Amino acid sequence: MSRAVTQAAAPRRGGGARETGTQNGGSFFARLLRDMRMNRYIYLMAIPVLAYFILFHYIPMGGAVIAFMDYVPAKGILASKWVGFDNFISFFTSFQFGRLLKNTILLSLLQLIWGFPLPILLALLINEVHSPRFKKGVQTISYMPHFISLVVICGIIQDFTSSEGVITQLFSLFGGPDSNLLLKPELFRTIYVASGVWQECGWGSIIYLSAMSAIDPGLYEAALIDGANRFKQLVHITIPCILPTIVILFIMRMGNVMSLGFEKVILLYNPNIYETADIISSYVYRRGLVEFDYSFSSAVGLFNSVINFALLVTVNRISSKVSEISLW
Amino acid sequence: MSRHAAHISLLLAAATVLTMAAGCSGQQKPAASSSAAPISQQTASAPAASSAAEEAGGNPITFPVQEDITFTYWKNISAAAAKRMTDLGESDTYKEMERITGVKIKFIHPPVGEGSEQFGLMIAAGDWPDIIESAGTYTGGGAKAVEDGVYLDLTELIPQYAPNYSALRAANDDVRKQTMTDDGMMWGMFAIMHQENPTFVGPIVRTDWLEQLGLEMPVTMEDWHTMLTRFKNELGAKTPYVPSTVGNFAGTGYDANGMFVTAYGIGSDFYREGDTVKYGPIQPGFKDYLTEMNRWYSEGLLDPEFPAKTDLDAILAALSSGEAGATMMDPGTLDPVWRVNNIPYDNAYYPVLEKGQQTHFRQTDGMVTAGWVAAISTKNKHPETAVAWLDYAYGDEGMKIFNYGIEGKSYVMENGKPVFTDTMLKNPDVPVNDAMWMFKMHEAPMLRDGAYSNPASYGMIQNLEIKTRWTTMDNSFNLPILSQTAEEGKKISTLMSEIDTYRNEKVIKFIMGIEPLDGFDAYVDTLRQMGIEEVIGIKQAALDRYNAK
Repeated sequence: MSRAVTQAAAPRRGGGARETGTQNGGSFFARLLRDMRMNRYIYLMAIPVLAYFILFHYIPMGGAVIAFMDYVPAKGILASKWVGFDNFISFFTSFQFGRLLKNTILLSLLQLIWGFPLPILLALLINEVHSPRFKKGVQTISYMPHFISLVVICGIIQDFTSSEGVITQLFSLFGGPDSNLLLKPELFRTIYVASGVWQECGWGSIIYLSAMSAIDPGLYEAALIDGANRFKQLVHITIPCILPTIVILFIMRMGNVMSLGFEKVILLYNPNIYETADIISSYVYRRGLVEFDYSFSSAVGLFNSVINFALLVTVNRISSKVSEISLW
Repeated sequence: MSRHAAHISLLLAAATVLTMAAGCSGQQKPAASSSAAPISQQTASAPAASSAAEEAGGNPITFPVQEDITFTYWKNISAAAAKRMTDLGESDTYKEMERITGVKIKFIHPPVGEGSEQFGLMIAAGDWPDIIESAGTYTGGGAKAVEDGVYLDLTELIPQYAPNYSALRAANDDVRKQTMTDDGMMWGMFAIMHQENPTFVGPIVRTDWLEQLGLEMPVTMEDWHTMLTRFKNELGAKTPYVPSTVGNFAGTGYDANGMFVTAYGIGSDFYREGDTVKYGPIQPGFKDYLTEMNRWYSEGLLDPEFPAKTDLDAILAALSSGEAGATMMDPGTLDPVWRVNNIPYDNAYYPVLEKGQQTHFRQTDGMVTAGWVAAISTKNKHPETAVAWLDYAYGDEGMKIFNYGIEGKSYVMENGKPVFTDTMLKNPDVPVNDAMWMFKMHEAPMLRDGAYSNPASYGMIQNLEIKTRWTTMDNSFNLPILSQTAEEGKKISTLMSEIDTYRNEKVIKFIMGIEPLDGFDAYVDTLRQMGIEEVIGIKQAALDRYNAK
């Protein structure tokens, strides 16, 4: 077996060598090949990553064509019927389209407004702590919720917000309602965003902490000599130094505005709060996944991606004009 | 692959025509194209085919088979069964089936609760198991699956290799109609009963509370209101009425089985009045129903958190702790909370408005069970054997193995009837709800004995009596199993996914009083705009075709 492999591999290697031998000069491929020969192990290490992206990200993109088909899994992509924009029209003219769009964008933006700055704040605070043990303790505790399964989190939320739940009882002491909070449409977004912040805040702060650790300590020393206090150091050194990270992450978050997952929503909602809780992905889940309308789901997915892409490009362009920081 | 399958079915078609010609020689013209053979001829040929087959040992395929055959079998596994075994091949029933037939079965179970999602993935993956249960889950229905080349058309195979199944179909016209499409095509084998399975969900009330208050079993809606109010005020029941999760929330808002809706002369979802299809939630009677429920809700007779309470354990807790004294439930489900605590209970009937009236709609489990249907995929290399193997569960011996298990172990024969032993009913290690998967197979395509072969029915013999009494209620409003074309099915699912969303939302708001009932007409108008009339039209056409079959 192994001999067969080496035999099969041998001519290929020989062929490659011949090719590089004959091509000499400055063309891109020649340079690439030369570089490959020189750094072959580094290129070798990149192969799995490249293969991953090609296999799981680029090839499946071709599958988006089923958005324009009446896709039947048993027949496959080649034999299914083309229907043009029917699936898109069906989505745009669906009865609740306006509400779904509004709910999705509002929920996503609220999540951005609260969920984006808080990890930065937490990271800044943790960075100012001097006791390493206290720092580690805070970090560990604040990461912890990130690792709890969403199903468990939602179970906890449901328990705490039922009429006899801890949170409900706590708020009722301060004059809040004494009944199930998840039955109140006006509270859904708050519950969704607040629990999200609680779960992801610590985890989100890691990247900023690592950016801060890369700041040259010399800058702080110089500032100290110039008489800057801790707050001035924070404003004039720490924040400007992590600003590129913040901006890049913000741009990337903007590219995800439409792709709000359905899992948490369907675990929390009920028909009484559909008016605020029903978002595009939960609607698609009900209609697409449960009834296996793959084409329809892909049409919606494609629509979301187009909006996300447009937002990403726009924000990136604005950012590169204003702050000269951009993704590309 | 599918071409290969087509060859087989062609061959078989030819074979069937030949046997039919031989069997009824001189009686009738042999059908030119047997797939379009008129029904009367098919039913007429079934006994003939089986008698012809009897000479050869009951079936052209004889068990045990001589070849080494292993079928892969897609089947949902219940939570109780999954707790006890890694796959259903470990159950007594399938072990016995393997012993008798010599056919090995390799089960493929989707994770508990993900059956329909996993089904879609399994179909999309293309490597279809030989036998597929829950086959009706296929998008667009079984007929579409045949058209797409996933399932085999069994119209020719069944009369020849499934004599037991064919005899059952021939014996009852409703069974015959519901086990085939409107074109007379058979794409799967359904679980069948000799008679309608007793209604298993209905109104149940604590009788000790009734006695304590000197009340009779409630008959009218007003009786119910009085009773629940007194439960609340005099016995301290916090939420006097809680319904089970079965059918509670999934489709129709509060009352999918129509327990209270029917009092207003309508059905809960789609229903028939004579030969006309109607949709309950747009009828004027539905407004009266909502008005009454809103009254109950505002008086605290219903659980204030009902839309968010989808957990059966929480509901059972309310019943066992004395927060609730009336429910709509399978009495078997109550077993672990009321019977073990010696709380006496009995059934009520679906309430009416005035004494002496009767309801026309109830939870119905017909002679044909649409959920338990097995199809044979086009990947199956031995479709004849597969059909014969499935058919075994419709014969006298086979049905006992499925319904009752192994004679001498899980049941004994008394006066010619199977009776469960204590291994099944009073096993200290295995509660009945587990035993019904280990020692017998409660859900499968087979000749079902339904509630009579459900060990949970015998935990308290009263449970079976309750179910039998419910079944005496009229159900002329219930629709039979209708078959739709793939296009109709798609149209319905597209329209209904929006209609259901909107209706569930509104029904809950009306009941909770968040929206005043003045909005009912606007709600009906919106449902019309959303295309409910179109769905009713499709259902009507399907019913007309059904009646004409």
